[in-house]
Amino acid sequence: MIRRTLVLATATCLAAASLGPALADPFPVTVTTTEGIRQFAVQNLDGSPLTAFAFGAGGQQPFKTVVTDTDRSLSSPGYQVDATMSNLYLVGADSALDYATTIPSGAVRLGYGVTPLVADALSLPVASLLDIDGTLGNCTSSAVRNLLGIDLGALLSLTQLLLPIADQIALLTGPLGSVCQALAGVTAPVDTTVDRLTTTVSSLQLPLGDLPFALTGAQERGAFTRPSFATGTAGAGDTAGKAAAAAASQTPTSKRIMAGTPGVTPGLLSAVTSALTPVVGTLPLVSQDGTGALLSLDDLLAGLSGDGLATLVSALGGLGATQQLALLNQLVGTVLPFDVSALSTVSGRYTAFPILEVAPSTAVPGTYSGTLTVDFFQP
Amino acid sequence: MRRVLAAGAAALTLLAAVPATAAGTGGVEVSPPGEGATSFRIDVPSRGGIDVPFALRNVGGDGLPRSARVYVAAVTRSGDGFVLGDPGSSPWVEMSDQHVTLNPAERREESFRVTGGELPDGEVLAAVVVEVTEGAVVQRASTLVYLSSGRQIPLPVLLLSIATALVVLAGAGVVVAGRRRRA
Repeated sequence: MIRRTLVLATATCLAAASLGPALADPFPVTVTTTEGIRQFAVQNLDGSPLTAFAFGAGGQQPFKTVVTDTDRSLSSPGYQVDATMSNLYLVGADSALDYATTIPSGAVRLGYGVTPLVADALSLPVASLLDIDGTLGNCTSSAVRNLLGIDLGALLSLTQLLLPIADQIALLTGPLGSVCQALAGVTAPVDTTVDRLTTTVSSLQLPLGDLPFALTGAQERGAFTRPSFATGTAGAGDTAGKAAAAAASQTPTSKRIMAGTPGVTPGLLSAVTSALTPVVGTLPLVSQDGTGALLSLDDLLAGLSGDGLATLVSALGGLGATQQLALLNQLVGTVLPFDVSALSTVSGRYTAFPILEVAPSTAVPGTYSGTLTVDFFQP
Repeated sequence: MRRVLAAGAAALTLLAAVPATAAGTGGVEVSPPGEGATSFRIDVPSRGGIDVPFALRNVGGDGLPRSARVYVAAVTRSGDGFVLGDPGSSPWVEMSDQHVTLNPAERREESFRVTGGELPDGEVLAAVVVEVTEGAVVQRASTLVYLSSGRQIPLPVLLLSIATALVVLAGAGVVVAGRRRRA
């Protein structure tokens, strides 16, 4: 008993000690999944990069901030987009900035157009259940024989053709004979469900609150009262201004332009359902690779195999794809109601339309330069 | 200690092999390690430091190279938002401030270093920033780094403690068995 206890304890200690080296050895892991993308951009209204502000006589410069999602997981966090502004500094003859002659950032305001937020190019793959119904018939039916390309006259002798049709069918051999025997064994209409339907719905029009990443919250307006002196901005060289701001523990005025909040609302589910129905209704059930149809041949056959149709599916394997598709497209698919679990990723574009406005100023006439910094945060 | 770092490196190697969910600007994206991860969540060791891998990718999709400045900075909360500090402003996260150019579809492995030590109370944030300056406009995409206090007991000490406890347990078993036999 004592010896057994000691052996067990020693073995356990050795196993525990061996954990260290095991953990220290790196090992390769390869996993293939879709990598979602989220890109942020500041653009002119025509989509070109925004590089300069030409306020002109009206003192306004419209632009847009764009967040573009590609295959983004619906369970991933949202985002926020904020803006800060430096003072505007007089540009000297030598192109150097005159930090003593400014238009304060407080003279620059953020406003918005009539439609401040828009979402477009939304598309979502929907992995839903498909209910498959219908009757395949059997080879005593001339319609089924036509679908399968069975020409009894070419396959049977004249004497055999005098027999009742069921007996003629029983004489068939080879793949067609196997299929006809299997079809004869299918005594009930097909009624099965497959989970291999993934249909992408696109061009969804949704209220801002029902977007996959809802554009929520008011767009912040008003003046950039406290300027930014951040590195990389026109204010970075304004040492006096920067020092004064630091002494006052002053942070730059930040204005929220847009924020995306994740969540699948009943409105989104309803819109996806409505968009999916006509898509499904216009497509045939099956094609060779699924193109232009609800399912690929392999997926449908895999779905049917599990519903007491294994013998038929096996027999169909002996036929060409054209014959298989002709027979199986007698069946009809209907999308079953789905919930949020059917949705996984989304692609789409979320756009805000801010307007930068500069108030009339009594500043020294000349060209002024400042920097608008637009920050995108990904939690 | 070397084993702890090696184990950490192995774990991070494993995480880096799993695609994440990236964000960025100017066609340059930052992908944190971990499936579905959109940000970095780091347990800060009490001593030493750890290297945290991430990927930079050109996702422009237009066959053109993409350039951006990439750096780390402190982040603080302000209301329901965030405020980004200057480059290199985080005392916990270090990375060289660099200007990168990525060829079309290029993916480059990078890392930043998290310095070990006692974190202050409250939330400690930083960010890996992709910055693109176009004339009078600076656009910055910040992927947040959440820092929290990590495991306080180094792995060798933990394993030694477990082994010692098992030996003590075995010894106790021997004593009990011996007393029973004598009784």
